[in-house]
Amino acid sequence: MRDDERIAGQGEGQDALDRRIDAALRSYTEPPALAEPRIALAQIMERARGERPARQPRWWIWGLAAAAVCLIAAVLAVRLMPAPRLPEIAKSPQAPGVVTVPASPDHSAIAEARVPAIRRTPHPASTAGREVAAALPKLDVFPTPEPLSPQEQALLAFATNVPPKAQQQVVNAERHIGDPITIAALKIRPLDVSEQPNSNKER
Amino acid sequence: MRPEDDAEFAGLVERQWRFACRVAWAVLRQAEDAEDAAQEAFLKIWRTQAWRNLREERAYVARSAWRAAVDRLRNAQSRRTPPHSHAGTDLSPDEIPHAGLSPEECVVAADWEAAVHRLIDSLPEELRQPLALSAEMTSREIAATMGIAEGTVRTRLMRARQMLREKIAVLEERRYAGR
Repeated sequence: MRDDERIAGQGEGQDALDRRIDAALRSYTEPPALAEPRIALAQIMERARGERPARQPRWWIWGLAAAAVCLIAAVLAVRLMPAPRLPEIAKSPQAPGVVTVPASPDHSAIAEARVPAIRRTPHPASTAGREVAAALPKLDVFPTPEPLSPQEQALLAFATNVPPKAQQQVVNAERHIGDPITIAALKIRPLDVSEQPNSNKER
Repeated sequence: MRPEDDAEFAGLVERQWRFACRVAWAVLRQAEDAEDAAQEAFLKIWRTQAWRNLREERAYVARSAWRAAVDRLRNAQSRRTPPHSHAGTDLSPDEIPHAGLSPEECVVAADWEAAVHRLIDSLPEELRQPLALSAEMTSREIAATMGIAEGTVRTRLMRARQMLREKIAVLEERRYAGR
């Protein structure tokens, strides 16, 4: 027998064996006896009715819970967040003797209001001023408030004791502050040539 | 539960009951156990209401039945009372336990299929299950059912068949040698 014939014969034998194996496999996977589907269904339904079917997942509950958690987190974040610190200059106590002037367009009224206010303000050198300073809470501020220097006191006195005439002038000047500026024409006297020799002579 | 739901589920059971039992039978090799596993699979489908929008009904049922059967097999093995006596053992043909007739006697008595069944039972479980399922499903369906790659299924099927051929060849030789 030639080799190819023998191989072909072996191949046929293999195919026949595979067919027999397949047939045995089919019978292998066939259960001997099975309950009828209707009977099985009755048994399954009997067991199933004894149990409650699974509930549909309630997604809205989870959504509500998530929203509540977010709300609580936001409230906690706001509460735990440090308060914005004001700049130190805003905390600094006012230096004694300094007067805060409210903004007002009427300068004459300001001037009238300033005078009695200044008179009521205790002088920093006086005992009353010291008492007021002592009554103020000690704050950690920089720079430490100091009493006014003599120059500042003089400026303050000048500002508070401006004569009414001068105040009126300032008010008038501010009224015309928007007017166009007019510059007077330059008046240059022409040179007198005849005078030059004389000046040289004088030298 | 609405009546139409019951009817829909009943239709699923009637269509797929035998198939689910065959899948479970391929794993367990005990009729009662296979039916119980199939019932558990359908009960699970009922509980999860998965039958409402099943796209691949057959594949889903196969997967559920296979899982129920494997769980049952594991429980049985943990109790050391395997449902079928030959699963998980790689016995040589002459080591197959005698249950009435030995494999050799089966062959001699022309009960060739019974002998092959015993040889299949003696295959390792990882090879036996795909081989048993291959009578009902394609490699792709087996892969989806067992949760392994299709290539792995094909490899296991080839190995299972090869081992089966070798064992049958040994039996055949003994059969003719005994004449």
